[in-house]
Amino acid sequence: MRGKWSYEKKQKLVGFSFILPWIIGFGVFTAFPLLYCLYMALNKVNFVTDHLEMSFLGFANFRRALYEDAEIPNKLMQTFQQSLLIVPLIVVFALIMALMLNSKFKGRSFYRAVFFLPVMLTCGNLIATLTSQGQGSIDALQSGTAAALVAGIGGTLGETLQVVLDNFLVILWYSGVQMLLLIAGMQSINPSTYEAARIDGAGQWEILWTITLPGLMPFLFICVIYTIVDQFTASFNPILEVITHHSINISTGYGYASAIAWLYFLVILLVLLVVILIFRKSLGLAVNRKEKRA
Amino acid sequence: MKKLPFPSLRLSRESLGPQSAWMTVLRKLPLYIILTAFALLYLEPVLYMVSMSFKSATDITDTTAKWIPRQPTLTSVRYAFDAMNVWPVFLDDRSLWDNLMRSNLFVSLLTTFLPALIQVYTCAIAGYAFARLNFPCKRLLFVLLLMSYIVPPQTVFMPLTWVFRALGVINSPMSFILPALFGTGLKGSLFIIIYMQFFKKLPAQLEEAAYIDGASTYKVFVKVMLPLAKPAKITVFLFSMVWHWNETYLTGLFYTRIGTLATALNAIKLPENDYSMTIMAVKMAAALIFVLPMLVIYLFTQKNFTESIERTGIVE
Repeated sequence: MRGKWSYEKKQKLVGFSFILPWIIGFGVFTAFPLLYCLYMALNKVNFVTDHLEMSFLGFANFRRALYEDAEIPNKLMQTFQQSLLIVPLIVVFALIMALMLNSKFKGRSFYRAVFFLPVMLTCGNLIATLTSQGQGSIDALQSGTAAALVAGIGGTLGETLQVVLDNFLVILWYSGVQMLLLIAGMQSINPSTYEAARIDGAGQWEILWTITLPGLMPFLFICVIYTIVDQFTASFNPILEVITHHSINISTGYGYASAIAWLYFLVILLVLLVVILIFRKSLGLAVNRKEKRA
Repeated sequence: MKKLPFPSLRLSRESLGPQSAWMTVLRKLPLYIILTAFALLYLEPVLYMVSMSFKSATDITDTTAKWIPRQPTLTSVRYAFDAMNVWPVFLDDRSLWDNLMRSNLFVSLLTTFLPALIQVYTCAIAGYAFARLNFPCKRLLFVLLLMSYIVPPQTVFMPLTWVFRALGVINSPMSFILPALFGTGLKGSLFIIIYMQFFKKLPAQLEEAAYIDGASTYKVFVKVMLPLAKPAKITVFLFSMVWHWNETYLTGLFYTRIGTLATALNAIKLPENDYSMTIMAVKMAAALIFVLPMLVIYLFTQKNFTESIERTGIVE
């Protein structure tokens, strides 16, 4: 009996045993709620004292969200555009900061501790409370001389700077996690590679482009994924507000809210698939190599 | 100096002779200026929080006492401490456990450290599988992994609550521990991806050597790969800890009879007909109490978080 099991099959079984707990957890805590949510999206859901009453609607909820409710496609598009703009800005800002925090200088651990603060403070409405009391933003940047200066630059550079200024608060407070991830990623690059490059006479700029950035690719991937999901699932997101509003609204109901939620997942998934395509080199190659070997 | 087989013609900066200390400081000056500017932006709200917490009602309107209160008072902090139920008076007719569960601080600590510790290991197992092992439907499962990450709990809260109710873990830290045991849980997918990318970067020779010595996959994982993943473990623990501590939505769903500091912070209000305090000061005092445990833990362990990553730096 044992002989029939090829080495390859046995390896697959061992691999499966590693992933099995996650599959169970996924099934219970994610797949079931998600599929039930889809089922409700195809129904009109009514709350009757202690149970739910469902009447099958087909895709009516989806059609309504897409064609009749002008608000939904608009807000989906708005979120999509906003994330397209803000995600690269956050990741680039985090990357620049991480590069700085990773270079050797006195007092580095103090600065690193300070740059961890945004991670700790992004709880519920804490940031909102602080910024509403005029903290953590730079008014000088958004009004007065700096703004006038930027407006005077004009062209693409001016426009980019304007966008950065407009979203400065978000960039500043939602990039802490990415910074830490990138710093951790930089530690995983072999120091001897740097040494070899320096001996060969490579400048700082060349080292950055040929060693640091390629080595950081896997971590940039995590950063981009994290930033996208963070932006899409932040509680201030307009779509989530709509969903929450509809799920407690009796006239539209939970079924309609579930339909919007599913449309929303599809948009996020689409964005993530684009990201995977961009990063397929740092992701896909490793998968392929393993498959060939097995 | 090592003798190189092919000496390069270009001279590196170091070979031009020792630089004076002044030169290095000057070269780093732009770095210090930029980092300090941003550090101040991050520090300002914290300092504001501290100063506001100890301000009396008259200090708040006093423009000359912007940072240092003229008449510092503990009124706001004391009130916030009681209102947030940080450490309530123990009742004699209840068991020790029931009394402890009435403390928001205790519940917060339980909901933070146990799931975080568990996730460090369970997510490593799944991450290792995605990075190094072969199993059926790997790509599909990876897409599902991403998918489970993008589902905001707000959108599935109803079926999610049913699941937890059916499992009987409502109103207990188990509602966070149980998903963590399966490698899912709060942002579990992200942690799995972090581990996956870390394990992928480790050179394959390490495992191959162990396999040649006859070790099983399980043994290789526990004895070779997991210890090498220290930077990933530190990162995951740190994030998991902070995110569990800060969680308000899921705790709001699962905890109806018990509470955490995060939910208490969001709910804080002024007592009615009491004009000795202002809501701003009370909110800031509550925020200070809320952030303090994490801040203290971070300050005491930050060397571990920032520097040891370097020492254990993965070598080929």
